[in-house]
Amino acid sequence: MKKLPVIIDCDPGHDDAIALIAALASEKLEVLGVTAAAGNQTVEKTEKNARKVLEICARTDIPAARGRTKPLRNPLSVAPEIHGDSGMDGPLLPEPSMPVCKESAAVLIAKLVEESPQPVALIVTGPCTNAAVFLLAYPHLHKKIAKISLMGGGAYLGNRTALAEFNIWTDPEAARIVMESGIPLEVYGLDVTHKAMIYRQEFSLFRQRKETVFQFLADLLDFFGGTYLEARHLPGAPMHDSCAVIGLTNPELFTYRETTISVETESARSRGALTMDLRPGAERQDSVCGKIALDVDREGFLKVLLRACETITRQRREKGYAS
Amino acid sequence: MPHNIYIDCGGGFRQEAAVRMAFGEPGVKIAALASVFGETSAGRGYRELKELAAALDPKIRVGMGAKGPLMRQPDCLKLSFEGAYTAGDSKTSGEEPVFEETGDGYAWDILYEEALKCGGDLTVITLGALTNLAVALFKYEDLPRHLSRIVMLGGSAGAGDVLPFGEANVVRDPHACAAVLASGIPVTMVGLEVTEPLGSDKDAAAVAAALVPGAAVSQRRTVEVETVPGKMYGRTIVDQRVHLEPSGCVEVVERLDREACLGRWERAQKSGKGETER
Repeated sequence: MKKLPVIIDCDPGHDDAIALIAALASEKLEVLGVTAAAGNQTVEKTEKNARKVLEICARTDIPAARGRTKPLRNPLSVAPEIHGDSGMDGPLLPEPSMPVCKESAAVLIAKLVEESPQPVALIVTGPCTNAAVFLLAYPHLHKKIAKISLMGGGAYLGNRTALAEFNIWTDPEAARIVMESGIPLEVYGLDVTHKAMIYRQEFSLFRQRKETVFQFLADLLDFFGGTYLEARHLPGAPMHDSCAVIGLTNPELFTYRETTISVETESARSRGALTMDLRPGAERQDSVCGKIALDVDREGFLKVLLRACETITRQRREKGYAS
Repeated sequence: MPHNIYIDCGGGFRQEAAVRMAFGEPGVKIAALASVFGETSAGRGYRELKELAAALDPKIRVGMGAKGPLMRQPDCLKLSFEGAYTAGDSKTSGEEPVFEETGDGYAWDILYEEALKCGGDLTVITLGALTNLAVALFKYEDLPRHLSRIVMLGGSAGAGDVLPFGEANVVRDPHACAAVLASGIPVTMVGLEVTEPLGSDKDAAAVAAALVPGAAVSQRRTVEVETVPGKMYGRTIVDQRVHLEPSGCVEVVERLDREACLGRWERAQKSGKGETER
């Protein structure tokens, strides 16, 4: 079975790290490259975290690049209350030794897309800044993007504001440019990602396994679950970003509605809200090229994540890394 | 007196005389020209500029520009202009040249490369929408360090043209204009109230303001762009309150010296090839 080539633009970020692991473990995806966006933390920090995850997964062969330092229009506002000062507080990891690419994120994405013999999917788990720059600067490569799978927004629920979720709120202009590009789009917003939750009592499923990757995830969950309890009053760790990955590998776990999706950028009150039409019968409109996930089989989803940790553990062993 | 210039053209053949005027200015070197959607499509404009550059100086690079604005026009606006697509759109009009034809490359890459080559001494003149500049600013975060000035034909401190307060080049892409104004790069705005008396020679006005010493009298003002859909969409909001200190680095041209520009303009028109077919 042919693997789907993917490029992951992310802002690790605890849930980004787990999404990366899910992607690297999947036999259905080939990760061509990882690019870092400014969001959960500064791009210098998220880029370093991305390399730490690649190293822990024994995938130093995958190029990692750094994107813009700032969103397209507004200043950057990071989220240390959720992700800590490093952007990935909790696990203790050494400084990464693999190098970062000289090229910027958009340039690396263009290079990988150009070189790929088949169309590439873009997975975006942070603000859409780098994805927007790539789409604006390389219009001739749009036909080689199979689809964009992004974590962001919500139909009826925000977190930074009543309607705006953090990724979209951080760079609404970029999100709008990405969503208006006409490239097939799937959006995983808070409506579904809050359902893709690992409950606190389930963290032990990872903690009880002694292997490095399981302990890494347990450390991530302990910290992320803690900040989510304190800051968001939620009973576990929502696996936001893994939805954008597992939606590609296991779409049967999700329930979708087809609709044209974009972003409100001009209203002060609803800046960063997603625009879409979920009224009954609306999906029968012409030229709809997007869908939003609204529900997920949580237990099936959790099984995929546990299997991903097994796979990475095996991959580490095969490459001579300690278990 | 700027030495190196880059000109963004949104009007195809109509702007040829303005380019020739710049070319004829002593001590001035045109580093590059670029097309942008506007009165003609970016693709058609690119082809016309390639011909023009070949006639003037084969060393002039020509960049392929954006085929539409950064964002979709608001539904309520219903302005028609070339560029029914956004810059980030995956669809094309079909008449766009495929990228492989565009030997030099994209406008935003050429702009950055020339800015670095000129060691920061590059003046940008925009005669159309500011989309190419916005893409360049988004892709190259350090670009503001390498550009000395942007002279933009567009905006208005008075009435608009396509809209009551909106001038066409800004209305075509207000988000791009906002990005340029927020960049920190010194901007000279040659607005409608200055160019309107010159009629179809307004492109020349922008070039003269950029290149001819003493041709333009300007005042530093705080300028922002309205991007909210509605009656003010695309308006350059020029703060003319005299008791406030202006913020930002925008010089708004208030007056052009017709005599200083006229002679050059007439010479440029005489040296032109005559009307080119659209």
